[in-house]
Amino acid sequence: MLKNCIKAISAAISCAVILSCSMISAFAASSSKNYAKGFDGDTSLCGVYDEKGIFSDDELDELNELVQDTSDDLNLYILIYLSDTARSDASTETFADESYDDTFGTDTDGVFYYMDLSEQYSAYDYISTSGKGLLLYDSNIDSMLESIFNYLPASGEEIYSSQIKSGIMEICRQFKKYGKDTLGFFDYEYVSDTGKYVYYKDGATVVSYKRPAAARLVWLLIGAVIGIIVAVICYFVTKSHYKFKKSCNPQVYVARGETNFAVRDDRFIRTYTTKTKIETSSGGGSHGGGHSSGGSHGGGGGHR
Amino acid sequence: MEAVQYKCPNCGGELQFKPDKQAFGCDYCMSSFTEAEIKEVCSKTENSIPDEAEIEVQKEFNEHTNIYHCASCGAEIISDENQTATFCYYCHEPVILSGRLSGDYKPGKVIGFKLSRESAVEAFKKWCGKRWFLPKDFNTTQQLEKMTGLYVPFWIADCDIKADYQAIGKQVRTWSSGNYRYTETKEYDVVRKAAIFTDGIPADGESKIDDLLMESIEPFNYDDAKDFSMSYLSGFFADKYDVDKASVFPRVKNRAEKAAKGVISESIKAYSSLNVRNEDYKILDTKWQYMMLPVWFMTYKYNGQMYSFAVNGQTGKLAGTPPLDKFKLRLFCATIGVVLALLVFLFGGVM
Repeated sequence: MLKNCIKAISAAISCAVILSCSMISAFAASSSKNYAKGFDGDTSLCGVYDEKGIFSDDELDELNELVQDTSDDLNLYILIYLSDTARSDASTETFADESYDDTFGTDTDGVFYYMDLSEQYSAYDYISTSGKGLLLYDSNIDSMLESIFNYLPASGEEIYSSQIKSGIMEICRQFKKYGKDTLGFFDYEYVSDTGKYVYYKDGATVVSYKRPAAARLVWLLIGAVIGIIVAVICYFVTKSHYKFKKSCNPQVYVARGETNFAVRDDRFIRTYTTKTKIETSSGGGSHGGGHSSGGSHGGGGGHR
Repeated sequence: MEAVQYKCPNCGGELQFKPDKQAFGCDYCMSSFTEAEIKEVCSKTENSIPDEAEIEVQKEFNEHTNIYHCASCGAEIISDENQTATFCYYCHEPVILSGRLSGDYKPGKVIGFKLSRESAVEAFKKWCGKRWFLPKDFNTTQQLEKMTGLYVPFWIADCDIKADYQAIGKQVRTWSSGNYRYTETKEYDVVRKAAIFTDGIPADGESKIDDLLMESIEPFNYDDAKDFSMSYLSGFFADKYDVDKASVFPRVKNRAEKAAKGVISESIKAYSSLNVRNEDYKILDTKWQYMMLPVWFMTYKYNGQMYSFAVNGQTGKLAGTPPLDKFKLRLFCATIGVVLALLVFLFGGVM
């Protein structure tokens, strides 16, 4: 019986391992391609796209120059989009990702700032990141937006070009602030929409289905910890089944018909009522989310 | 002036007046009785001078009973005159014939074996089937041949218990209204005084058998109990008791009190909490019977430790501590852990 069980388990485990290895090998062979296109140094498409028409040509030239300098400095494509069209949060994110891909191409290194100036709903700004931009900014988007929102008008307030200009300058400052970070071995992101990993290797961005060494190491450690925990639990749970079971309940020996209650009294003493105030808590907002476009994007947004 | 000597109704020991408690106390089983209680119990006691028939049965028992003495572990085993012991069922060492049994070890009642050896072995195999990590040779034919039919000496106690219980019971009801949660608590004075009787709490009178092992194959159905006859021993082993009723009384008392406590608990169900002020279970009287009960018994030595298994020879209920092959278990757990770690590593972060 035991032999049969162990044989069956061994066979199942062997099958699972062989199947997994075959799948992974087959998958790995076709997944090691690097889709990253990086940054080619051409900043001509970088700048500010003023759909709202808030700036004069001179002002726009000045801002374009600022953005292109920043882009050149960071080796990242940067586009700041001043939108006059009302969009939902989800369609804003999709629009930002698709606009980036249409302008700079998929899986290039860059960042797209969508500034909502439509004055229709609660203003929702969104930063779409790609390639190296995703690695640099995704974990810092909340603090970046917080700084940028200090310069931009809140929802419902009148929009002045000076405020937007200050906002754009702050955006560039924030991009520079976090854009100089050194990317390390453990800096990688998994984009669930495309199933690709984005990481930095030998001074260049890699966008690939193949997991980076850091991810493999992390999951190896996680796997080892889970394996050890499960094995230890399994050991002690099984061991506990090899203990002596409890003995017979002595109540089976009670002569039920002969039990005689001389006193069986439940006398009411008192009653009292207490009241406590029910504490109510209010939940906070959240932002960010997944959406599909051609390339692997990260990003996040927030309401002003 | 005539001296009066009272016997303990629970264990038969001499009762002595304890001035500090102003009650009669037994130094053997630690029971305590007031004068009124002891007089009431003594008034029911009869002189039990054995009649001629009883003497004849005792004589027959003594003449036709052999006692085997294990040189290895010291166990004393009773069998009828035709029985040849091949090994000690405790330590599996050969036993030697020591001499005829003497003294007053004749049981009053016996429950004959209802479960055949084959059925006991089958029950044991079924029990083993659920356990994957037993040692390789644990349920081999060679090992199962060691299963021995044994009449175990038991003291059977009927207890008369006086229960006295008092507690504050609380009934709690909560509801919400507006921004407030209300809790209404009703308190009751819960009093129970009861006379509770237990029938046939068994306690084995064999020091070599684990008490818990015997308790685990209970209960026995005493409706099948017959007056003791040597014929029941034929083909089986039997033990004489080496633990007297005074020594088993604390165990009986503990179980009787638990049983009484259960009866009281069953009568108090309407409360969400109970603050017990007084809880006292006093055994006023205990009636004893000495009985032989049927047990299929097997021992197994593994890693220097002895594992005992018992099957109720009447009901088939089985108990014992299964030996664990730790190497097998470690190998199994390690395999599970490695496979799981591998799966997490291969698919982690992808799915």
